[in-house]
Amino acid sequence: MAADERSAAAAAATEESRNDDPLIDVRNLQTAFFTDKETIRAVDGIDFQIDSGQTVGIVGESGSGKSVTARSLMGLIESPGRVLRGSSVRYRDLDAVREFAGTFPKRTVAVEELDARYDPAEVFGETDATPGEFGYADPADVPVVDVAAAGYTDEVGITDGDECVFVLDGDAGSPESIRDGFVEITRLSGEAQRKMRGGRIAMVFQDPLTSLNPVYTVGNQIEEALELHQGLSGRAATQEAAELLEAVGIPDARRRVNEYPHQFSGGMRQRAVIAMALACEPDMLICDEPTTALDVTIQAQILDLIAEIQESRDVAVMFITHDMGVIADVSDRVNVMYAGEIVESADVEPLFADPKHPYTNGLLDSIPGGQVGDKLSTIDGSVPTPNEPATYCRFAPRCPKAFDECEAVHPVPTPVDEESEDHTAACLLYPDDVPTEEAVARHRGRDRRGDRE
Amino acid sequence: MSQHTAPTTPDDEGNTAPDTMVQVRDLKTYYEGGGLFDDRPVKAVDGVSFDIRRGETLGLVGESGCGKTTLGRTLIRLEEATDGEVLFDGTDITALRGDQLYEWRQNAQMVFQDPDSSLNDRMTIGEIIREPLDVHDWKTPADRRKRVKSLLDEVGLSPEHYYRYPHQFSGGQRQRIGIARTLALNPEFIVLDEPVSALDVSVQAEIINLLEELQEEFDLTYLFIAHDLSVVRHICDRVAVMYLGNIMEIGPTEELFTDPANPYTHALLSAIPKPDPTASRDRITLHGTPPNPRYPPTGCPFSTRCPARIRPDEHENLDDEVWDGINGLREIIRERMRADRSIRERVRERFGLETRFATIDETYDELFGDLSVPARVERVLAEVTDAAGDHEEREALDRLNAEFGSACDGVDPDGGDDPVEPAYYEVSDSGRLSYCHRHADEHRETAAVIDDRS
Repeated sequence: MAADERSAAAAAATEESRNDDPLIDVRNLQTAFFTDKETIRAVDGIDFQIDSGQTVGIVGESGSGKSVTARSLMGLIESPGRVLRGSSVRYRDLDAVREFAGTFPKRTVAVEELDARYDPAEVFGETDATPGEFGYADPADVPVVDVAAAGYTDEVGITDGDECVFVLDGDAGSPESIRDGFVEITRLSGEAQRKMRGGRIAMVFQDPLTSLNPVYTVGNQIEEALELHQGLSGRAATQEAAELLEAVGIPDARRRVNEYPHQFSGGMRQRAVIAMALACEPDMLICDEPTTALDVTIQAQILDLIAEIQESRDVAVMFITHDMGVIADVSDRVNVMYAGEIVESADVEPLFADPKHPYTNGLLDSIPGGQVGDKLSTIDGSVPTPNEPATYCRFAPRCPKAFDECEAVHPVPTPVDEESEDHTAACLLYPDDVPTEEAVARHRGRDRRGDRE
Repeated sequence: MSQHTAPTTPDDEGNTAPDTMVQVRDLKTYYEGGGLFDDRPVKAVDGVSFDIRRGETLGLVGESGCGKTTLGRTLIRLEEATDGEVLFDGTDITALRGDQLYEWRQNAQMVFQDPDSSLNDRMTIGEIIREPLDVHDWKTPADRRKRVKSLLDEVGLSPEHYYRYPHQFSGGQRQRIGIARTLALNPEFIVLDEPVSALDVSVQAEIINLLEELQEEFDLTYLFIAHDLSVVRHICDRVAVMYLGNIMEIGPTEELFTDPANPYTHALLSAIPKPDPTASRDRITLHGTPPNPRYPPTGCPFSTRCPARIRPDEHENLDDEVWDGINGLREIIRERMRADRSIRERVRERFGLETRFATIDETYDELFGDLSVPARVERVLAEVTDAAGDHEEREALDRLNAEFGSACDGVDPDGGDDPVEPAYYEVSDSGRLSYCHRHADEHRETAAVIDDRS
């Protein structure tokens, strides 16, 4: 299939399935690693959404949980780590929901059906679930779908642990009739997992050399992806592989498909990895520091390429980096992570024009530039390793604006003021248009995880 | 505008010459080829000249593989120079041997990029920092211990860290340990090879502050090697921009950043992503990658990717896209010339079978397919692709060069046979130098050309 045909098909498909819902809806994602010595809560209850065609940046220092977030979405968390119960990552593309419902009828469930078996008192009485973590005060108000997607209904036998496609509107038995639903990424396994990973969501890693196998030609490796996800083989696959390489800007692609990774330069390798990711026509591309190992001039080429791909194929991009400059360049929306939590979230312009969280301010101030010869401002101390569920602000020990309550109240993402519904900060100073005591009270009342585990 | 063949640092206002510490003259460091047949050396540093003044920080920037680390290492005799001189206070250190070299080494130290691999995991912090003192038999063991403890204090660690091991420290702290070791023998000159590239931005700021404090306190002279230009702008007094073993531009930092003269500096600066989403994104994206330093292009090293390359008069008005195509074709042919051709392929070729190289016509279509190419240009390109199709890559390149080459590609405008190289031109009152034909009076200035072509 030629590139333009493909993108036309992709555009038509998204046209059909587009609605107001985000493509990816991450709710209360928690990923922890359990070792003999300690439990590391690498990702500790984060929420964010990605719309199709949108680029969402995740920025933070090393150890903040960015990469673990990406790996949780890809189902790449390995023992001793796991995604904790209570987490939900919903994949809302209607096309994908129908496909999965058709392929895995046994793992598809209609929400009405669950509702018939559901008794809030049982779930909230016998499991760790709290209505607070779903944003409700009364257990009776919590919709069964939220509880089921988060995995709590498995324990009381309402679900059997295998369901991963939830149908909200339509007949679970006939995929074409489905009008609304989602695939729950945290509940995927086996064949369904493989179909999602690579087929729907593809990932580009930081170091292109480690994501390519040195003993196979670049062409081989792209053909492998084509064979797995599109059923192409032989000459057709080689032809398609060359076209993909050409599409990512590798000159003389027909010759290059027969070369080995070591014959490619760093930038070329990253292009080849991107070609491989595109081989399965994903709806979403997760880029984990894709330009960190590259020179600025090559970085510029790769950023241009990703922007171009996004435009022509309408894919959603989740872009992880520690470089504020790159984030400003590529993102539509930015999430700032610190010690496993999202501390600030906003569209890119307001975030850089008017950063609210003291940590975001600290990060931006420590970038050299503007103040030649002056001392650079720094953030004292280092990123803590989150071992316990937070009952306080994790940034407080390093925060220049910390006050007594910061040690006692866990801040939750809150709109920074009345006008900016879209700009949230997890800091007791916000919302800043109410007195501080009032703001602190709002955070205190909304903590979701304080009394569990 | 005056022309220098060997750049020198001009005197400051007034009569006192700046206190020059290091003078580098036409320095070359080549790595000899190891192959049986192909013994072309890798020209990592290919004839650079510059001065470093006492107490200043000279930045050295460029892409990976441009030779900046090799240059830094050659300056302190961690690599042997192939040719040229490095004068430290008048002494040519490339000629030092034996005891003299051993003595001199105390004076020049290096901080390495990766704080994980530059510290020995089996030694305690105390041993690591003390090692240079032991090697140079500095005073008594008790004095050494005292010295190490005061160094720890100096770099912001505490004396009780003496008995700990490197794995107990974070990346920023490890870099502090590396810096303490560097300072142990009271050197005057320190090469900092990407000292903050492996660190997070907030930690990076701490290390930069530390380096600046130490410089002030101990009167240190730094050569700061980096690829992060925002860091360089913050810390350096002057900057040298390197490309493929050559210094393309050298001069005072602020001036070089605000008003770059060399096309490569232009491109490099425009490629830095700024932490400001409203900033205009008119960056100059360079095509391709730097050439292999074993096979540098003739003429100007940057000619293969230059956004302001001089075009021959008769083709000055050719469409920019056609020019892009021509440059692309040249690159592909150059690469094919160097690509390894297996015996199997040579045999297949002999019998007229399809090889992976036999696709030049397709490449041509890719590059020029939807462009309108003037008849004369098309005729030349047809000859070029024919030659390339027959694996006469050399001939194809010569044909391309004869038609589309200019001074940048080494073609002598006066018709001589020897390839010409650019010269260093003084481009500002501060004595900033730039290595580019564009500064000659007969050519238009870089900035205007880049504007026109983008």
